[in-house]
Amino acid sequence: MKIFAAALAFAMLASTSAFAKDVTYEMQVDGITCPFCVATSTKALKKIDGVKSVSTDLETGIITVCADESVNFTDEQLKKMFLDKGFTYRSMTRSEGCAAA
Amino acid sequence: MNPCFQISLACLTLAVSALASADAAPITFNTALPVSRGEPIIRLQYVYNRASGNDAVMTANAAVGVLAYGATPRLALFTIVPYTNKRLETPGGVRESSGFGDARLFARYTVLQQNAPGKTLRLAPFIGVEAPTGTNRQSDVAGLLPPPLQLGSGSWDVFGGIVATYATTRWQTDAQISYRENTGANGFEAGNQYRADASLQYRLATPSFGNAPGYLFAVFEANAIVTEKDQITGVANANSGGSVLILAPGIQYATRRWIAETAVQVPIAQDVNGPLQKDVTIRAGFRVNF
Repeated sequence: MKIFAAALAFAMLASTSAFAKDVTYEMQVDGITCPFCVATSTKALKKIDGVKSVSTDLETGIITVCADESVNFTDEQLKKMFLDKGFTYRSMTRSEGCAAA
Repeated sequence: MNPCFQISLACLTLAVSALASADAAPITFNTALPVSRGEPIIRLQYVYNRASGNDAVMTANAAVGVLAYGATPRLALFTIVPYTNKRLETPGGVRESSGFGDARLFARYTVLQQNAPGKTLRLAPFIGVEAPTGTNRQSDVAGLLPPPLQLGSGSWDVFGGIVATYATTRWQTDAQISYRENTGANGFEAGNQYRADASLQYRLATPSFGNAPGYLFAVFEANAIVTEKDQITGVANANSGGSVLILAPGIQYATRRWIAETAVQVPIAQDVNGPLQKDVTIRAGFRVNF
């Protein structure tokens, strides 16, 4: 029982530690109007090592990316990537942790 | 008088409009919405076309394949290949043909792109050719089939136009004008064609089927088509050409990976030279991005 409790505590600690290393990017992307056009952007973002999840709010044009802290998006990188998809990248914010990591 | 020479309008409108885009889009013509650079989209559309009059019935069933590819963020390339069965029933008998028709290749370039959150406005001219890949010398027991029953025209034809799109997450509208210049082969030249098309798509709901959340659109489209008279050995055929105004209600379901759609094109006014009148065109198909 003690071994199980210790393992559980270790697992929770490890999980908390991993959670703390995640970061959330919120990207404002203009011109996305339907689910079909979300797919290409989502696919491109998910190809990047360290990206864990991508979600899109079509009404606001905000793409939310959960990634580990090794991922460092730049404005130039995102501008080119979304331009290739046919959309216009405007800006991003970065915050610690992911809501649904 | 062969009634086939009087139905070129119905035949020509069959394979005109199966185009592809990366977003919700019109069902009976193209859109100005983007095709992502380096990514293909495949569209397959089944098209049933019927025209009748004077105890004759012309039907055509076509499977139309479209490959769209984004060469650059603004330049998209399209290839359209139809596989068609054409059948003409008259009191004198039945004549028909089956096989691949003429392939169409065209390029579309976005000259205007204004994006806002959940909105976009685009304007894109396009130009292309229809290559004589389908046979135009097919025969049956009665002899050589007339040109409208042939699968191909035998000629290199050119077409071009401009398409505009305004899209939001709630609704989308598209409008297109286009012109097609036909050249002749074997003494026959189909009439040149002018088109104006419009489409309105309105989102009705956001249902989910299994793991595919998507948008359900009601679609309402209109096509105005004017076709000049055919030329037979340089002489205008009085029993050809004309104009038709078509309304097309439809429905479309768009998910992240695929779009399924169907529409029924019904002529509400037509002034065609010849006994056959266009009855109906039914389209059903899907698009997939990779």
